[in-house]
Amino acid sequence: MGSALHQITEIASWLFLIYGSVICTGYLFSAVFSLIEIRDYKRRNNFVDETAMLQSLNLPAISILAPAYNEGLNIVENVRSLLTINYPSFEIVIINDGSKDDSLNKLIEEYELEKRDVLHHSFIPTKTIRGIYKSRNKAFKSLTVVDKENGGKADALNTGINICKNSIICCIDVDCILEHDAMLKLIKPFLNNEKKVIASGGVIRVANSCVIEDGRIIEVKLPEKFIARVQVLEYFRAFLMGRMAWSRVDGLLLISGAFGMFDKPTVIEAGGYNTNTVGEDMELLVRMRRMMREKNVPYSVGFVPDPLCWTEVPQSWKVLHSQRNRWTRGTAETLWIHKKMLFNPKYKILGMLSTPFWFFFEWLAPLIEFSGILFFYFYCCLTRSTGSSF
Amino acid sequence: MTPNLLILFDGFSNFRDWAWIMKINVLIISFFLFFTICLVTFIIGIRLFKNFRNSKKKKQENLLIDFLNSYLFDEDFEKQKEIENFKQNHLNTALEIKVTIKEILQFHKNLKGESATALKELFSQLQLDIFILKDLDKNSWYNTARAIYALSELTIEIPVNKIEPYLNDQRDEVRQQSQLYFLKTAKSNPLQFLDKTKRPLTTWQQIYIENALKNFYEGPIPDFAQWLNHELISVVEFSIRLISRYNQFENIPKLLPFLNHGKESVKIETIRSLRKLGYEELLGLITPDFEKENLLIKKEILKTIEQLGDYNDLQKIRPLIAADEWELKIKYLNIERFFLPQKIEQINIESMLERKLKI
Repeated sequence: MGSALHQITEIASWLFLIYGSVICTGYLFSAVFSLIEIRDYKRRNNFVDETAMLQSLNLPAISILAPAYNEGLNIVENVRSLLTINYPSFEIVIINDGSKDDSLNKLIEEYELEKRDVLHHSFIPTKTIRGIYKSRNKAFKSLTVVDKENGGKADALNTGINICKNSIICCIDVDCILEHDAMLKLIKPFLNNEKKVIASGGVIRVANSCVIEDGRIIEVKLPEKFIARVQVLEYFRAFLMGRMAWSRVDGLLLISGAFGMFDKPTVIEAGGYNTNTVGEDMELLVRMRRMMREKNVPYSVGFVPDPLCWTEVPQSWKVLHSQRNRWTRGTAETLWIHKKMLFNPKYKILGMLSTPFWFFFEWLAPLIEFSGILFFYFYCCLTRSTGSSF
Repeated sequence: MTPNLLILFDGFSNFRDWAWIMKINVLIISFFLFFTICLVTFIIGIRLFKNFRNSKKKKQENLLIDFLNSYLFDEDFEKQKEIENFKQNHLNTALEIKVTIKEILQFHKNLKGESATALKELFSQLQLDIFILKDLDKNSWYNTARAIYALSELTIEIPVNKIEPYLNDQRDEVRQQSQLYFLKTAKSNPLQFLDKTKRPLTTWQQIYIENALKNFYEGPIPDFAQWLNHELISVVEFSIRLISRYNQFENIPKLLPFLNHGKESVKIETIRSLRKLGYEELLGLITPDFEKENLLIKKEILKTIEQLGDYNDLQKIRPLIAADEWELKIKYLNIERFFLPQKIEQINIESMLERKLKI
């Protein structure tokens, strides 16, 4: 019995040790890769000011899709902020996902909207559209509001994809605050690449406690609450270390749902956002990448290490818990849906590195690390009771 | 430390007798502790260095603002003496030189005419061009791109063979800056560098060149047809586009063969160009093959009908649109609305019926 226990603890000790070593090595490598990538990016951009390109009429038009559900409190201001985006040609599609509050009425009133019969086709199946609204006022001609039955964020985005006119789409959260040149920076990977670019994303920063005026960040401040401060650090780590490194090795699996740009034909071909998962942003990118790989089409996914979008993070444990619960479930569901990719050399870096890393070190990490702590505690107790140090 | 752990450790004097897992733990802890201390020290070190560097930079910037303002606008300023003085006392380190170049470029961007020329003269009097040329020959792409950028901003001409190799450099940034250099320093034929280009132009580079051509080049506009037979498809597409942008109607006959080009993107660009040039015979050339074309070309043909054709041309296309070509159908109906605004309601009803029947 004692010998069996000894063997079990020996094996467990080795497993935890290997796990710890691999995760630390992984972080070390990602730190080095992201350092190289960020330095490269900084060098590429620190002597040329490309904002002059914003005057160019040759930049492709973008459709900005923003789903809204019960956002009545700030919807008017948020849409106004989106309308002031600095980019030569864009349309904004606000998708009212069956809000129960007065979001739609507020928009109709403020932006002089009227119902129009806009011809469209459901390339991706969605819930019923109740109406499509356009403004009578030419100042808001780039605004389209779609009113539909409630179907969740993914369904709302799919509706936007069906309705919008342009072949490059930018999916954002309606309450996000964008940097003045965010669109230009995000579209650059699409235009400056010899391969087909299917998606690009950027760094998202925490806006809590920052001074905001007219939909622009005026002063960056550290959040007052501890829980939000921790998330500032976490966002830096996730975006500047994690995603930059994955981008360097072309293994990026996630472009944040809060702000990402996609090639619409590829999104439609892949089937649009999955309405059956809570991690629709990650699932879409994985599915798009998987499709491109299976079709054997050379492609790329861009990532811009500049802060492009600012968002409010949860300030209470309860909201944070539900957000993290959603994220973790989203990761698990995506990995389950695409389990075929795991350790599959056909998918190259995605199959051999990205998906295993996400499986073992993103999704399972809290469980394994907690088990490791428990194991260590019981190991100590066991040693005390047997009086030996193995 | 809890009694449990004490048993495991059994005192540091008996390290050899410790459980192996504790030994490894202690080793790893020691390694990470050492690593953390090094990292924190390093971060503090670079922070201090950066603060020191920034204060020097600020000092140099302030000095330069006064110096440049006096040089440009103060008539009593003893130029030669002050330039020598500045060179001797404030251009001794790489940082001072870099800040000076940056500041002069900034001033140059905001000034025109005599002041801009004076800044260019000052640049060479301070022998900053020598520093730039040294930078150009360095092996790092970053220094090269930055040096070419400075040369093109100030339109400082240097022997062509010094920049030409960079037109086909591995790095996008270097290629882009060298293209810009040739464009900004050209007196005529600003896109001559395309003859030497062997790497495809990205869309971004094309937009960049077009922008620079519009905003910086002041000489005569070249005949873009000279690159229609370039070996790179991207250059061919670019020249086709520029022909229409600059309304070179005389090149329409040269564009026509490209309607039968094997590459889809060239064909699309040609249709767009001829459409923008208002070539009326275009529809007769592209509509007969409508059925055989792919979706993107079909969309371009529909757009052309909208702009150059009439309702009859549109109706001829109707039977050629397949039942599952929804994107084309929507486009078709929108153009139908455009031609028959009085029948919008009827078109909507028809389209709705179509949807109900076929989806």
